[in-house]
Amino acid sequence: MSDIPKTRIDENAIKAWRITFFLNGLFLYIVPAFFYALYYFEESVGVLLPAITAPGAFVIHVIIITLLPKLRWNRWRYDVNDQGVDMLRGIIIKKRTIVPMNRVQHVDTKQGPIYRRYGLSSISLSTAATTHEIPALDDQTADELRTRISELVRKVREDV
Amino acid sequence: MSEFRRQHPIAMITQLASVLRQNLVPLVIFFVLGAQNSQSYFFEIFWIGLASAFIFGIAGWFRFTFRVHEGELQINKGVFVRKKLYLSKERIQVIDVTEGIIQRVFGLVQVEVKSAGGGTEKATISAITKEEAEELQNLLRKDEVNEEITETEEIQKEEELSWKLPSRDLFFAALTSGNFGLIASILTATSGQLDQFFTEENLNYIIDILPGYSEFSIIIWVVVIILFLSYLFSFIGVILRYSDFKITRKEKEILITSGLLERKQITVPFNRIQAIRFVEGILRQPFGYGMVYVESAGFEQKNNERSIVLHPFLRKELLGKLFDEFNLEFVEPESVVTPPKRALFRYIRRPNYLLLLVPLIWIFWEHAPWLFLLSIPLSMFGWLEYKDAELAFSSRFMRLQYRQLAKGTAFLKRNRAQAVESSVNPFQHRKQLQSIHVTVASGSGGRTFSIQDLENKVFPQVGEWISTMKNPGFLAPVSGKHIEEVKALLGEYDLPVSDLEDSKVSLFSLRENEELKGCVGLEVFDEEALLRSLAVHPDNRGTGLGWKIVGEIEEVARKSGVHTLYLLTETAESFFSRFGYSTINRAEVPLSIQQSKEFSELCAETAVAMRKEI
Repeated sequence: MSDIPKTRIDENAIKAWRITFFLNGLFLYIVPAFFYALYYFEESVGVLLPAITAPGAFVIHVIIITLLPKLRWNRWRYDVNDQGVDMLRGIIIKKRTIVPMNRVQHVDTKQGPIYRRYGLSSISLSTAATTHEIPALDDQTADELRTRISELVRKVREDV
Repeated sequence: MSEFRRQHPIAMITQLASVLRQNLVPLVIFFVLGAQNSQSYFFEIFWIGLASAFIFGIAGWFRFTFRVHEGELQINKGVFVRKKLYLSKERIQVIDVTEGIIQRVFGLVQVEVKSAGGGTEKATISAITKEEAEELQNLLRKDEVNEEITETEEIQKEEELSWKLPSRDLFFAALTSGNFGLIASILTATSGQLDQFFTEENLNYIIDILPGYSEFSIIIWVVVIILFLSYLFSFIGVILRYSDFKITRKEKEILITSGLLERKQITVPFNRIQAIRFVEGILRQPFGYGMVYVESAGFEQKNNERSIVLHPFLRKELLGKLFDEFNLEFVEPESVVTPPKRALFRYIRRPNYLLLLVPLIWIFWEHAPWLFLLSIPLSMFGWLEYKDAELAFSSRFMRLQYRQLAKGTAFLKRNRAQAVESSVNPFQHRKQLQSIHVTVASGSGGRTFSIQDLENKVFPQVGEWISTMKNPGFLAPVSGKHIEEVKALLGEYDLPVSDLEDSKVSLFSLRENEELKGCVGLEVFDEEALLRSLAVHPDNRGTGLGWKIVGEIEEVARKSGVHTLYLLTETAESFFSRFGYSTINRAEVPLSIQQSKEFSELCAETAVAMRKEI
């Protein structure tokens, strides 16, 4: 368990996350929209605020879409062996989590509409206290991994 | 109790009280509105609301019937929507008996039955007599009669052991309760009326009648009064909650009873205890006292009550005794890790981040820069945090010590830790430090204990620690004085022992706290070896120990240059096949191994041969 995990998640994650970040980023435009509405109803507020915040939101949106998915993908590593699941992630704050196999209570794979388009699934592991997710694995890997984890769990729990 | 029966009529009142409590806000609104405009019908609505609450209380009581039938608690209830709640006693985890204020007056109790299973369910019978409650408890207790008969009288005697809280301790607990800070903030927040009070007019009036007081000193006085009131409230709160506090150890659970007006009884089964927490509040630590919490898992608990108070005011030295007498297993860990020297600056700096607010305050208050003097106590506090941070672990236990405001110490068993996490921010990265988080289950969620800025080589150790199978320790060669013990263990499973002292056989055992947990033997013939004499102590079966031993002996074999392992077994074919051993014909076994004593003479012809490449 002392080795840092090495397996990467699927590269299609970048594309899928671009779409997710694009959609989430739309919330950024609430700020200029609010100021514009203010200006629309009460001209004395001035056009300056919407004029500044709109391009600002756009720039942030573009940065988020272009940089974050790639960085995030690049930082995600995991490993599954008979001892447990080891996950390493995080762009600024790097987190590494170890979940021992015999604490795992159940494993599911999940797939939303965006993941489905790229043939991706995520795996979520639950213990008595926590839930952990390995995002964006290709469907087959995810299924195999889920089966493997649940077999390992059964093996560890049943023994002798 | 096989016939359906109703609760005591007093249940109507408690039911009514709870209906009123739930609808308090609309009722008050209608009452106030009604009082203000006499033309409208708000008063009428208020009265109708009150009346229907009464009717609901009575009808609810009338509809609520319960019985115990064939080991099942059956409850019918509901005024419009009828509900049937059936709980079989196998699923019942805990039966709590509480005496509320109303119940107390009439000598009644409230019974709560909690279960765990598919989902957690809770059934509440709000008022029955004590005798009925006792009968209910007896009927719903799981059948343990068979087990109890075989157990000795001794256990029966030692069953009832209890600790009480002396009234002197209760008094000091109330005196040093740290709650008042919290209550003070609530009081200040709720008294938004203060603004109205501090109008020019009022102030001038007060200054007139109280000569010698400036505007400023009045504000100070108000603050002092608020603090005093909240201190008083918190004092009374502690007295009410922990009067008559008693913890009792039963065979399988700890029973906690406390409370003056409302008596509460909480049951904590031993096997649900996840961690014990000792919290030394800043007012209590100097006197060597603290509060003991227990984290338990799995019940329908609200978030704020998921930690149960096991002892409200305990001397630190008595903690060990509490652990001993209440069967809370913990052994002081031997390896202790503290943050390195280079982390000290980070610890001192962290509380000082509060001072970043000073420029903001400066906008409203010209003397704000003086607040920078607070840096001295804040830094000292950071230094304390540094001094108290500590992570200690041994094969089976972990102790985490940290300071938020109060100093906390968490004690947990390894198999209760659900996950471990490390986190590194860029500043920590530069200093090669990382924070470590350990999560245990608590209530329906989890509680995480964190220690900041430890050496970054600690986490791999912690990861190793949590991932080891349930029983720790390592295989060690069996020494002369222990060989008889190993023989006895093997004898229990009818495994051959006559050739154990043969020089070809290397025998290993796994021991923990001087107790033999399991053993295994290896007979090496160059690149092949015979795996034999694998046994796990009967007390430890089903704990994953066999798995661990096989894993470790394979490692030992690999290190001594063995490529193929062979074994003979009569009973454990399926066990070994899970580890990749395949069944082979006996004739396929190499001659050298066939000539070993175990193969040729001691093992029955019916035993199956198995092989694994390692």
